[in-house]
Amino acid sequence: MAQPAPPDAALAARRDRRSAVRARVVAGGARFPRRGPDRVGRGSRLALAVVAAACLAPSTGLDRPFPPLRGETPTPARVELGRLLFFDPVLSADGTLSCAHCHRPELAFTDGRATAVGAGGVVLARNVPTLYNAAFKDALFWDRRAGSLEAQVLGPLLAPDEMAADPATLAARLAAVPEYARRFAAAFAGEAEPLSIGNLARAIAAFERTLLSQDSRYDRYARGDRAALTPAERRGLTLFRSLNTRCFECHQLPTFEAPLAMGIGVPSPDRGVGGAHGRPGQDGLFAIPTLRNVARTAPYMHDGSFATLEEVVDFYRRGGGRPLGVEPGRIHEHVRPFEIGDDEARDLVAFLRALGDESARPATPARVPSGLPVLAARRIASHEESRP
Amino acid sequence: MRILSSAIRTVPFASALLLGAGLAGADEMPGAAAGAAVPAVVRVASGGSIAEAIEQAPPGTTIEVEPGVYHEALTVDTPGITLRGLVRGEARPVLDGWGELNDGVIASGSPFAMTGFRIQHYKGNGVSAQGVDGVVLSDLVVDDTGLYGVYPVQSRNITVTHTTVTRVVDAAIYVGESNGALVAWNEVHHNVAGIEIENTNDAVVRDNLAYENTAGILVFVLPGKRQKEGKRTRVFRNWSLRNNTPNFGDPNSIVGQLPQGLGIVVTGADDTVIEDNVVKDNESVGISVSRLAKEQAQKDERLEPFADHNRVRFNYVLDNGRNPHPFVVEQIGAGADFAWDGTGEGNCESLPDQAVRGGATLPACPEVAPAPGAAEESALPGAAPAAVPEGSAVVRIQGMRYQPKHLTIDAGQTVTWVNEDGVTHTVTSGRGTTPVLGPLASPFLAKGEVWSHTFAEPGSYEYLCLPHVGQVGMREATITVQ
Repeated sequence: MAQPAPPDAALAARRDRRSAVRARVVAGGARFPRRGPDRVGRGSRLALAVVAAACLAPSTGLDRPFPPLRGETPTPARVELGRLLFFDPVLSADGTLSCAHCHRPELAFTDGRATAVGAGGVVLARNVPTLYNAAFKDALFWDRRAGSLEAQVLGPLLAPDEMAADPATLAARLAAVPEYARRFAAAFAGEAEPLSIGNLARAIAAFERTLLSQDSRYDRYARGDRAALTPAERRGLTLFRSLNTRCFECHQLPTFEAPLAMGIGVPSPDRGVGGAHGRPGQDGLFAIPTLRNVARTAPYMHDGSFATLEEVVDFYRRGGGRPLGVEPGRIHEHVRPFEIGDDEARDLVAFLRALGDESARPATPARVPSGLPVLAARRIASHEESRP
Repeated sequence: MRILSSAIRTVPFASALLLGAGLAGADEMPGAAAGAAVPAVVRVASGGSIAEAIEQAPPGTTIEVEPGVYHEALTVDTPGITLRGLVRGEARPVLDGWGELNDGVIASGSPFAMTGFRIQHYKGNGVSAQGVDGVVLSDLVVDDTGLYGVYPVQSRNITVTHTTVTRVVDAAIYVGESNGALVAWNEVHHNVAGIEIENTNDAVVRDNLAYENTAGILVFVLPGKRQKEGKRTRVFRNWSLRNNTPNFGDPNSIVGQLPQGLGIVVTGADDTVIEDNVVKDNESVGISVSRLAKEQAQKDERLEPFADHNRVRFNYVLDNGRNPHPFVVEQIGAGADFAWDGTGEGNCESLPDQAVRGGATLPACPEVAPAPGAAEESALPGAAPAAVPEGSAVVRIQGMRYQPKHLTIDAGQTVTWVNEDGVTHTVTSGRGTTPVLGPLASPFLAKGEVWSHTFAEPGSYEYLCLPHVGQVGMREATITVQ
């Protein structure tokens, strides 16, 4: 790499960026307390190995750099505080509902329901999105109305039909728990008012920024391990990149989402982005969700109207909402009927299932500072919670 | 342990890459044996499987394919693969999807090159390069490959030359969300769109022949893309003729909604230069400059929908607009040689007096006579001007010749090429008239720009100029390293 020539310099710069991102992510992961001390050593070695590989390897178009992590760099104290808050039902007005009730770790931080269930068992309008790799997103919620994780946290926390918290009451309640008072003071040392709702959002956002998913079998394939995917999964990856299916154009590598709103024509009264911003031209547009860990996040779409990945693939094969009477202006031009065989549809689903990596899944705390039960069963409007 | 074991598995791959001969820079890696500078070449005979050869090939391999018919869809994820069709007279290898397979080639291995094939009867696309830095597609014949013929996207440093594309339902040659592209000496006809440069910066579209499509050449900025802008496309010395084929595209797609009879269309793009083209006998509009339609633009609030600072001048643009599509009549009243929608800043045109203008009146371009090739220099991607390194040997590029054409140096010495011509040149490893992926891979060099390479290993290094491979003085040049 001694040569100063522009093309090589450009390549080298690209490699450097990629290594830097990986090194930061890996090093960041190793710093967090939820990984034991033994993990730190491995993390550093991994970082070195990956950086070395990245410096030597000509780029491959599959192994693309992740976007920079957005927002504040998480500190261990905030991450741990955020984790406890995330699992603590003290956050909801009635003390029954924690973030983790809807963002269940074992379901890649979704809840397995078509749409979320809020305070008092009210069934809400939209499907719970995964939190994996939320740190990379430029906007959150299905209608992309929040520009940061901190802003997103406050959404369900304060919404009357979700956790229904009152900021002053919640702050007082947390201050009355000595462990929280201590942890906020440590995590936000030097601030005039360490225990605040704003800092609660920052702590949970810090925790969420550790929920990275970057080492699926697909990623190993992208880095050059040809054995990481089965032949069917590799055929599925090729289909994913086909101009016949055009999956890759919206679910872009390496995040398998894009910082965009898009209309595919799921029949729904929900105006999506148009509703959030009051712009009629954006009616029916929704955020492009990541496909990472998608095997765990059923059901699918903004309203959870598809139970399985097979149904989703079938929906796209038929041209999205086009045959369902959805106004064509709400459907992106790339969404159109395409012909693939049933065997190919199976390959495509097999590939999607290879996008799983939950190695950053946090431990569920045995107890939380408020002393309230963690992930207790709760009442849903029409029926009893079946899976506590 | 899972994470660690995956890291260990990547290391042998990296080691393999060290031996990946033929890649740019491989010859100067310390410890690489002299013999490693020779690219690995494997050959596929008629009846064999190209996919199998790709599967077995280490990075940097050139796969030569004998004439024959290959019913395969190829995926290339290995870096530095060259697929070279062996052209023997009229015979060349044919990738044939029989209307059953999706894509001829999907390449994410970077860089990637493909020459000398015929590609036909696929459902989605002929050749797509995705996320590749360094794409060379040359001497391809693409017919009836679904939506697109050639589709580099989210890539850099793209070259598409000497390629013919026919009968595709969207764009014959598409370049999207990319940076740095040369699209030249291609022939596209009987497609919906001939050449489409979309949300791409620094593309050069030159010396192409686009005829009997619905629309000849498109320079577009469209919503819903990660790359929001399309700037500095240079469209020059193309022929865009008789693009009057009724649109047979998907009526729900943007290109599928174009009225027939369009020569060159700039929509939403900035700093486009359109010069020295022949635009004739397109029945709706010869050349048009307009904003992206409101209903499209409002889908993407971060997109700037207006076409600004576009310059249209010195074109032969006559005999267009004589049988305009009703949509064009509705928009501007009649057909025209040139039309502007009256939006955007800093656009200008200088066209023949007898050219028929439609729509709003666009100001004339400033009467500044450019030095020959000066406009061409202004917008090209690549090297910044730089001095010749001390002790370097020099090859001047002057009058369409490398001077000297054959140069002998000692190992470890540097050679610097200086472009003194008013046109763009490259220094690109090649054999005869075929570019190959090798140690010489300069960017586009405008007048006054230089590019250097240090030769560590003895050997003979042949090179050519990508844009001017047709000139005797610009190919089969050599550097001999003692």
